[in-house]
Amino acid sequence: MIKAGLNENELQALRRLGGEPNIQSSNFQSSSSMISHSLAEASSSMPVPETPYSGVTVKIEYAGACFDEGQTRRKRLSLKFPGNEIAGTIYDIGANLPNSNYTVGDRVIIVPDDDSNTGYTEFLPVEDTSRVIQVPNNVPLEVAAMLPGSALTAYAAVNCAKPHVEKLRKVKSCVNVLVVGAGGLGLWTIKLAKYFLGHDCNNVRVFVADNSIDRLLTAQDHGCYDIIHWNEEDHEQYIHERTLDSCRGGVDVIIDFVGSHRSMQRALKVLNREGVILVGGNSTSETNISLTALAAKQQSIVGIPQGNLNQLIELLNAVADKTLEVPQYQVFPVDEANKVFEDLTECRITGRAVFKFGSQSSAHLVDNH
Amino acid sequence: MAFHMLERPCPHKPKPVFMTPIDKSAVETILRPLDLTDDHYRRLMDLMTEDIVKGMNPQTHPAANIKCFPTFVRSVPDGTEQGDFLALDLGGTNFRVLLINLNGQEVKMESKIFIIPQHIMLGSGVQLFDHIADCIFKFITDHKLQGKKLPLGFTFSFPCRQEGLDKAVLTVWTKGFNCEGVVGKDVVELLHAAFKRRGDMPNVKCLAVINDTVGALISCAHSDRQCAIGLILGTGTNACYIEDLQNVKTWTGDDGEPRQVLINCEWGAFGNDGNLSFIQTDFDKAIDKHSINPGKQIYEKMISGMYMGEIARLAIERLRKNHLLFEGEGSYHLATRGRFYTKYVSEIEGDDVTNFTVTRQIFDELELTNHNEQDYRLVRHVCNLVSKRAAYLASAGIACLLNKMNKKEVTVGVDGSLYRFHPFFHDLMMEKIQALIRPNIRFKLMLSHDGSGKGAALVAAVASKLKDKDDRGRRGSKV
Repeated sequence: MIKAGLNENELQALRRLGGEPNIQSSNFQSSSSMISHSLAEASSSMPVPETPYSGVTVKIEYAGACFDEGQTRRKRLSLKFPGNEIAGTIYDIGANLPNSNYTVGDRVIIVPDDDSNTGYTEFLPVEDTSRVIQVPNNVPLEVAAMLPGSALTAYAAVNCAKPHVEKLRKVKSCVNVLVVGAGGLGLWTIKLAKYFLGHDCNNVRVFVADNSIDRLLTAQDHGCYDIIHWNEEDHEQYIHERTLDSCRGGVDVIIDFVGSHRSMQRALKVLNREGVILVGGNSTSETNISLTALAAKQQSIVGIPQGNLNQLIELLNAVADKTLEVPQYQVFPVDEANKVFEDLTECRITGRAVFKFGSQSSAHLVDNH
Repeated sequence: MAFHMLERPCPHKPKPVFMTPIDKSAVETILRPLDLTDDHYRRLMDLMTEDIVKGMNPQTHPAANIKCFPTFVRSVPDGTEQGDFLALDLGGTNFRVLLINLNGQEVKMESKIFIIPQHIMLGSGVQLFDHIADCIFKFITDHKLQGKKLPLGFTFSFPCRQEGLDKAVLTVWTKGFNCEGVVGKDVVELLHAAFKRRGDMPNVKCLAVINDTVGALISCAHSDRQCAIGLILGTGTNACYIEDLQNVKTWTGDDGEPRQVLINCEWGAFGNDGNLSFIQTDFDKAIDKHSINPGKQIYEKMISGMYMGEIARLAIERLRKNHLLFEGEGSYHLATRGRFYTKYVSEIEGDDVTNFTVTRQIFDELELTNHNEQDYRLVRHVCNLVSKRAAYLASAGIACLLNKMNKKEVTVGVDGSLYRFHPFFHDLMMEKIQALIRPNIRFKLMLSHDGSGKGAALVAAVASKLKDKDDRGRRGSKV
């Protein structure tokens, strides 16, 4: 069984929060009074942390399901809970803050810092208010939740790849970009590539590779040029052939969110001269690289930079004015966390998963593309 | 299934200074069944020759294991094939559409791979062929071929009873497919029905359907006219060869020249009646028992890529449980059926024997934490035995065909991931075939790459020429 990192106390709190253990969504309409009772009960069941003097306390409403892409085949996941994709409302404001900045009830997202694995919590005290960003009214909170994490990482990757793609577009009839990993990061990358390229995108082709056919088919729905099945059972040489067969003319830019030994070796085999590989920092793998080959082929390997605040705000605005399309996502009640993580690793769920905190345990599937 | 909670290996935990020497006889007892002798291989050849004759005799054909279906392909290409052809290649989860231009010895190819999702592999036949037609349409559109007349060759790599060059009836689904409404039907007809349903592909017509072994033979023969055997060594294994019509007692076609036809052996099914039990090991029996088709494809299960990794895994696990590997410590992955990929066998055998870097990498991927040099060497030895047996078994089959044909010089066209990517398969086969054939026969093993595309186009080209000749003949007779 996959351990979601929620211990018994936390699970108990969740159950109490959700009302009776087996409440179905149909019961909700008739039992809303019961829910508000249990809400009142629940908010006092977990102590609310003290609000920092110059900070705020955020009541978490949504959290994106976060885990390391490269680890999907292992049975022990390194899960992050609540993770680095948190959206909620302002619950309390510190005494030392000028009162024009925030109002209780403001919809906000939180810029992640290093400590994203604190375990289940409903209220998050934030000392540094520059990490708390208000969300435009027309952006649903569950969408906003995804932005500080996967969307921002994908943004940083695409932004980093952009100058290289632009340079090649001038001299090549076709620039091939390969995204390794068709999970949340990969899907955001497809949408962001479209956003960056605008309407003039016919000589840049975005390919997506993954071990899972289900995830690849979802990626195809998001509008990438083609999908390539990197079946872990196949011989490596076959995978190289398969990739070069689809990416006619070789691959110029590779964005590898998986970053495993095998994915890197494959990337190096299919990369063109002067090509760039951008690597996400999720994996704990090491790999060997021939420095002479790298130099001879004038290739580069770059770590994907961390996204910054300005980029996050740009993301929010792009989603608000609909110039950036949002990938497919589903909302699940947070007490289904264990099952959802399992389904994500087995690719029974493709697209993003976002947990909804709070009393409503009705899951609704949002499928937008 | 037991789930091992693994500790990270502690680099500072002291290891004993002297390693316990391994019990060689215990290892040999476990692995000996994988090491067959030439007597075994010769006996297999005799049994196979008998079975092939049974396959081509109408009385014994229904119960025969090696069915030896005539393919209706009568000759190899003669180098005059010309023109543009479409080819389809369906044999697994990847489906390919190819545009092939033939001009004497020159062949130009463009292709696109389409994925077949699980629900279509297991859905209805109508869905499957609609999906295929859709992919062809996309390809035609992308390549701006809409107005062009396109004869099509279809490589359909599933067991079929052929009733004509463009008529193949599926006898059974394999390789994970299970679409209802296709077994017992002519796949070309189903394809044309899908075209008709759409109505937007009037210029595409399937003239020939072949299987991947025929593709390998025909494609190789295009550059080497002595090619008379096609061999597939990949996820599955099968062979075809050129047989004299007089030996094909099941022949229902015409009696004209050339008096020969390519025979699709479907030799994977050899051993279905239990006549290979003299070489089957416990590992083979376990694999068969847990397979999707127990009791079937026995010969194939000892050779092909679909099972090779699992044979190695079972041998490795038995050694481990007897504390002859990894000090008895395994992992969740090593204990999982199918998890020791066949590609690991190729990779381990191709590894550098000083550092074993790739072998260590694989053990890491399998989350094995306790391993030393003895383990690397022993696992390599297991892989050697398994792949050698597979190569020799396939060699015995080829030697059997070569002896039967008794031609002085024969080239064997080979395709498949096992042959292409395993470091020693070719050499092992060259050695073993030489040892098993009649002394007057000379042979070559040649890689026949892209047989499914090029081969299908070449057969379609021949069919197209025959059709034109036929049409002209008919028109002429009206005058």
